[in-house]
Amino acid sequence: MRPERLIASCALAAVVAVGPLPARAGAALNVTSAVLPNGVTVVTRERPGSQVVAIDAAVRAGARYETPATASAARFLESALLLGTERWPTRDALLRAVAGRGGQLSVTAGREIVEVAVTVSLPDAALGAEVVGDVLLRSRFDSEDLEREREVLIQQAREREDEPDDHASDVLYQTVFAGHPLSQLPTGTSAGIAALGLDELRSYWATRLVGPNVVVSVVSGLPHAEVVELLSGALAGLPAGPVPAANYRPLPEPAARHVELPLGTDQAHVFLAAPVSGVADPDRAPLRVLNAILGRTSGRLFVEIRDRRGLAYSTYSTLPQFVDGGAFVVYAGTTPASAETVAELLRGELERIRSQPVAPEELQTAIEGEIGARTIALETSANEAIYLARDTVFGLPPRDVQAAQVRAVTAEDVQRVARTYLDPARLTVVVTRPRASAEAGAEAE
Amino acid sequence: MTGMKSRRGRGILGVIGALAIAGGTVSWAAGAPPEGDIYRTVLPNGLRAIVRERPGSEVAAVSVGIRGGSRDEHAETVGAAHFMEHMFFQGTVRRPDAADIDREIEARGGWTNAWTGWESINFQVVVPLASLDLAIDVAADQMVNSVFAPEKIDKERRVVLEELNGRLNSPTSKAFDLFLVEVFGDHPARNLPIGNRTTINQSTREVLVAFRDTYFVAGNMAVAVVGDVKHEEVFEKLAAAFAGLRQGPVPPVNAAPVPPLAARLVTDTAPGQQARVILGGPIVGYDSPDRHVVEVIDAVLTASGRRLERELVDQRAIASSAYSFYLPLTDVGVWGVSAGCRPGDAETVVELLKGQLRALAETPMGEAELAEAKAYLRGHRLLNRERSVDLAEELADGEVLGTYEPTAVYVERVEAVTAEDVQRVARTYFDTERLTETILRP
Repeated sequence: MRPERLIASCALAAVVAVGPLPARAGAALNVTSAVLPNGVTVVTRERPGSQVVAIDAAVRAGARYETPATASAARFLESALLLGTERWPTRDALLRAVAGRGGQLSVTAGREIVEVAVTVSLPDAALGAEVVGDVLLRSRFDSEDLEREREVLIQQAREREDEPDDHASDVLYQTVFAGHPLSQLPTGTSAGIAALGLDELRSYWATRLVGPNVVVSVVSGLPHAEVVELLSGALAGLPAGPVPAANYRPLPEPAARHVELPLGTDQAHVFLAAPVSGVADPDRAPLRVLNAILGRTSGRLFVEIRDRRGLAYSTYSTLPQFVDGGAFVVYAGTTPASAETVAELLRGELERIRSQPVAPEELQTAIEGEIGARTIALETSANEAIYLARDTVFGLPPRDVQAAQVRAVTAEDVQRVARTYLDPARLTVVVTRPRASAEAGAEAE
Repeated sequence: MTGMKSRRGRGILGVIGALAIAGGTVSWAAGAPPEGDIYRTVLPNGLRAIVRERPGSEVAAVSVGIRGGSRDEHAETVGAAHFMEHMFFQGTVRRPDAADIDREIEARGGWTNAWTGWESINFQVVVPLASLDLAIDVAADQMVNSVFAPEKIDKERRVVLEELNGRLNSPTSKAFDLFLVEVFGDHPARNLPIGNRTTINQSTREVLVAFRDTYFVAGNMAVAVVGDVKHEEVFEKLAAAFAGLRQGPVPPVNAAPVPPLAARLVTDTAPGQQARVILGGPIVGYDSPDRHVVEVIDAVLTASGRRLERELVDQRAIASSAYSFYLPLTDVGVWGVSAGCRPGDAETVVELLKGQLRALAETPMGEAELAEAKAYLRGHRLLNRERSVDLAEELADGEVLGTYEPTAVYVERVEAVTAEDVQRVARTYFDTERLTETILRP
């Protein structure tokens, strides 16, 4: 598939937890951080002996900072930053500079950040740093290239709209976050991409790209000092300010909302969601445990909807959280005739966890599972670099402290957050429908 | 946002993503392990066991490979192998419910999964290192003691049908399935692992059990463990845990030559706004020395040389994406090029893609482009070896198919590819008059 898609844009978007950074915590994890004179934060994790260098540069330039005049700018940047730099003047030259060494280069837009990720082998560490610096600081933003790319991006946005589950989940987040900056889609919209002015795009990036808005994480076989030296050179010239104002604000009050999407397809995607608190809130840890109780393969949704009743192939819960808010989402994909049943079952599981405390064993397995899963997720250098960068952007404590916060969660905590956030009378519901039943029947081979 | 978590019953090997996994025709060197830290043995019951020691790794993985898949199925019940794979997650004698199989693993942060392909099936259990014994116990329990309870089969059939339903409703997946079901002609690989509604409905418990009892026999299977372990200890544990595996004759392999190239046109519609175009054909598989040549061509078209994307996306902006793929099986493979585009541009996109294929056959590849492709393949192989589960899966699947290829051998063979090889293979297989063309329109 397209290299830009290799790092999934939303899989890890929910890395958030609680509290300030305790001094020297994380030292045992070989994680060290430094702040460059221009305000860029550099976080390194040394893996002695590793032949892989993974760099993740996160810039607070995600879709939430778009205004009506800059709608879809984050999505546009995801491509514009790969269209060529001073040293590698075309997308072809840029991507081949890395791929020709066996490495990978991608840009990913999220709600909070736009991320440039590079993975190269150890002897190419300097090349990796230079590519990151060039992409951030010296991308060409050539008008002719950007206009041509706009045609491609519109097509890509339409293809996303063609995929029923992606489209439905986009509508879900637009609805549950309605009126709040988090409702702005990191994947953009075809209308937004068509309308975005190129000068607006350039000034959006220039405004966001200041040192204090940038975190660069590096996971490699290199010692911290060497990494800092490489990046100091590569990122020299990145201005220290002025730092644009953040637009953090409370989420709107939850309310019952129901959206039916007539997509003309023969599968019903059923989503229920509610807004939840953001990173700085101590409810993060109990919400993670709640998510594990419901959403795992041995979790309640899977057991009830798939294993007991065979109503879905895919069913899960998810918890994307950001600085000032997030959402708790439950999902199942089913046949159109079962859409109501599945919606009731999803709702029933939310009611159950509100009304009955979770049993000690189920709580314990959810807690330990949540902690162990992180160990496994961090196995690759590239994934660990992503987690480190995002955790730092969101001001989260080191991994061991996050684990301790999860371990301290009680059954009362879980029930309390379920009661606080998952009020069945105030859920956002999105369901896809066949346009006409005759059309749905024609889908069978 | 869906499908990011690992989900049991990942089901079908490959839309396109998992294609660059290396393999080969190398058999194990007698005596010494082919790569320094890999150890292989045959357990007393005939199960082959492989351990890769990775000092310092915090994650351990168990993978069980079985030779057999959709190409071995009867036409009326294609998809039964995949359906059957789901039943290994529906309860064992000791773990009677589906959730019992995952609960202990997930309680330690681990996960289980499985896939079914054209000619092999693979199960994985991944855990933090301290829980390796549990992972071995669960994997063995699934293989030895799965119950296949009749009432659960009918329930799980609905799950499998919903999995199929999701594929049919995704334009991208639908286009690939349309292409793959045609491209192999009369070769046994024409059987798609997912099957279709009719064949899934015709797959009774007897059909599932018959497949299981034929293919899930010790001599037809391999287990691989990768982690910070000592191989002697792991071999002992595996021998005990898997002692009760079914015994039986090793089923025959239905090898067949690469089918003749033929012009085929497959068109269909799907709700939406964009069209999807796929062109391709049958080609050599793991048993051919030309496999590495095809990998170089694939790199030149897509990852390193970017020929397709440069013309169709960068220069003309006529496609949303354009890329090639290569899926090798043991005795056959499939290659293709694919693009998404506006419906009115589909014919032009087809012609542009064909032009790129002709260029491979007509114009010798430059040294720089060739060197870049080789560097990409070498680097890609070396950089993507950090996950224990990927290594375990490669070892178990490579063992049952006889396709395992050590990195050093792979790199050497890629290095040996010449511009003449590229032109010869392109002329032989990339015949633009004899392609399977798939166009899915709104």
